[in-house]
Amino acid sequence: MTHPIDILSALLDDELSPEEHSTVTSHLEGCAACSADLAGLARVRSWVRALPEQEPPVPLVPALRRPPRWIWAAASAAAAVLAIGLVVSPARPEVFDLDTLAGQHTARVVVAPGISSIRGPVGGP
Amino acid sequence: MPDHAIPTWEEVARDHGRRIYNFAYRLTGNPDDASDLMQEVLLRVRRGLAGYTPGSFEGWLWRITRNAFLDDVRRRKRRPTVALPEDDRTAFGSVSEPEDVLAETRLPEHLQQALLALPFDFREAVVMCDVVGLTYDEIAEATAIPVGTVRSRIHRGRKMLRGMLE
Ligand SMILES: [Zn+2]
Repeated sequence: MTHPIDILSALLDDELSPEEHSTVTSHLEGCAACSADLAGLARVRSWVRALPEQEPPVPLVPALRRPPRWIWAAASAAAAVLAIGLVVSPARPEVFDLDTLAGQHTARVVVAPGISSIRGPVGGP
Repeated sequence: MPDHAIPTWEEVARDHGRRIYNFAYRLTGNPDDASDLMQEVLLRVRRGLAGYTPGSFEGWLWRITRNAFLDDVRRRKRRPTVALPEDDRTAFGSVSEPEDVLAETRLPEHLQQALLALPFDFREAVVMCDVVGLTYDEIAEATAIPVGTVRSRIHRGRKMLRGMLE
């Protein structure tokens, strides 16, 4: 009998048809080579699944709200400051505004209370 | 989320933003690229929700995510690893392994490096399956390839990872 090595991953993922499933499992009972292959694939699968989840650096939910008008004024002021060469300390991002990103795509507006900075080219409205 | 419901953009961002970020992070190994991609995907989702017809939401969302990723790769003129032809099965045959590695785990850095060494098509399939948690059908819909090809890519990707890590 041929060894069903090409569908062992699908067995682990429970993605086989009932017919394939019974064929493979009965083969595995009598085949040490395929059983060893299956164990190796199961290890790799568990390693990838155990990779630590990464935290997105940009908060998602604050981006949903359009910032109040004073923030736009602050952002414009920051742009003006940058234009004459002064550096404004970057703050930890609190808001990234989706409307701005949608409109200008290359701009990223980062605003925190009292401190504002703009990175990247910013187009006028 | 039930397939018949049309989610709001807020729900997509809240419920899926982290998964989108982790997908991009594992494909690129780079937090900045992953963050840019997550924002781009959320923009596209917001634009696309108006035209979304209830169906397989996962397939729809991950098709957008994948296309955004590939567009980004093209824009940066940085190609994903060249894919092997589907019938190139000789290079990664099954290898019997000593049993003493059975219980070992692998450091995330080593695993990430091995993922990045995979041809793009295989890396993508493995990440969608094992990091994002999609079914084979959902991966097939997201990548517009037959489900049999999804099965083959996941299997061969895992075999290559095993060859690199064991
Ligand atoms: Zn066998």
